Amino acid sequence: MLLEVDKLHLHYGKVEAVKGVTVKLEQGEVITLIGANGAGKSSILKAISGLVRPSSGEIRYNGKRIDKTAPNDIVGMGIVHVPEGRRLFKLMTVRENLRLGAYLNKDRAAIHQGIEDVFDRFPILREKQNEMAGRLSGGQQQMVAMGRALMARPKVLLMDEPSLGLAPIMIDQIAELIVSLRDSGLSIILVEQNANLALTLSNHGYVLETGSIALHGPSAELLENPEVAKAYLGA
Amino acid sequence: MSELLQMGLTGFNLGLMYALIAIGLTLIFGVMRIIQYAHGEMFMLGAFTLYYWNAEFGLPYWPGVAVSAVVIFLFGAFLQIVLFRRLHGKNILYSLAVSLGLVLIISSSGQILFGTTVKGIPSAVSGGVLFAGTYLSYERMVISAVSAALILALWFFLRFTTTGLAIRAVAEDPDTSALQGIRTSRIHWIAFGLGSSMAAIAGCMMGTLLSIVPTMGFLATIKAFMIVIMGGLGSVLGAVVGGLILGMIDSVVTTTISSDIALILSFVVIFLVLVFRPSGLFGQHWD
Repeated sequence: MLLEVDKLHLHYGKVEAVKGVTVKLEQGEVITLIGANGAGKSSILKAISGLVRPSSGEIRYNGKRIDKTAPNDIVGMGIVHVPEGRRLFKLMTVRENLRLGAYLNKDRAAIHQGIEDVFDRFPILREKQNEMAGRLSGGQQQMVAMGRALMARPKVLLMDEPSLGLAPIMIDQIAELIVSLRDSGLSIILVEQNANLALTLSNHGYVLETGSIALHGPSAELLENPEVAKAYLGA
Repeated sequence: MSELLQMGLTGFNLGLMYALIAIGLTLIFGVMRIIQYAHGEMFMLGAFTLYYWNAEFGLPYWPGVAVSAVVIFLFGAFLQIVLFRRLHGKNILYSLAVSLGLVLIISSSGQILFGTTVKGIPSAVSGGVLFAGTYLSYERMVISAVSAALILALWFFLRFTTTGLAIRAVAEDPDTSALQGIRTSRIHWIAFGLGSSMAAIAGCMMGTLLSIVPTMGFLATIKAFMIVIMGGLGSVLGAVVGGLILGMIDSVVTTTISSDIALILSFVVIFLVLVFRPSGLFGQHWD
């Protein structure tokens, strides 16, 4: 098992946001967490990346506990989080944002090559590389956020609502990217409100309701599940 | 005409030194979101470090400035790790209370250790040149050049080095910075030390032009806060522009009217700036 979230409980003050959730991610697998706003999806990602401390439960990466590890060390292990709302450094240029993605990499040539790879993947960013990230469109900002994450050469990618607020054409592009990353062997945890998209792209899905897992199974089965279809797929 | 030129040059010179102090303060606030009211004490300690190095021990002036910057960098970093780290993310009043306590401790200790008599740091450069009827002192020219070079060096450091980028990133969004692998606690002490050493260098320069006493930090803190609030909290550019504005007011009004009126006018200018731009000249909204 590559990454395992085991009986995770998480509180914000007195409010319990995550109630005993267990999630497993295998090497090269894409899993998705779907559910309504406030179901605890983003909190699980934040706990994995070390931004919030669990109240109880364990998070293991390659068998090693990481639930008390600092976020910067977790990035060093290869777990990279693309937060909800992109969270770019808006007062910095596109290029500076990408450079920060490779903060732990001291090899200048590799950083330069990484930036070129991102530009090859998203050619518009080459043109916009010296513009402030905050001035880009939502879709371009999402490209920077994804590019910044890829600069860290992740082994596990945590993606929080990558399609949020994007035009349909951009959502297709993001979906293509996730497929290509999946095919290249990257392991991904995808949090999405767009359940149809998420289940289409993933191998395994977890449906969260008010902090607990209500349902889980292979994504293809969840797509056919009438309860899921009614609640999340607009059927 | 020559008097106007003289006032302008003095104002520019003074403004650059004010900017150095204010940049240090704005760097600390921008990265940690704390009030460091003892910033002026770093300015004072910087000046006294150079005084003992140069005037008391007879060691060369310019290495003394560098030693002062390093000593105060280490002292600032120590204060951050021991005192201010615990206050990060807490109500800003905690840091205000702790740093006010530090002001009393450092300036009182300074009076005991350094004495209360006014001291002076000997000039490193002497002489000058007459230009358009105005006497330009080499000392002021060198100090202006060094101050400007330092501000420029800091700008390059923040823009083009990995640590500089990390400082800007942490100032903008600490959580997202941590998600890039940046150890934010390390950036905090670096920024605190760097900000303190900028004040120390300004103290060395100002101490050479004027005189030094252990209580000199108080006015430096007030001026630094005035500049930072006028320029915009957390903005390095704002600190430079604010410093130059305040330096010019100080020079022109003090020469033509009085230093009291210069202080009053400085506050009037700040009030006007804040009325029309509540976040300062180059500031953002800090919640």
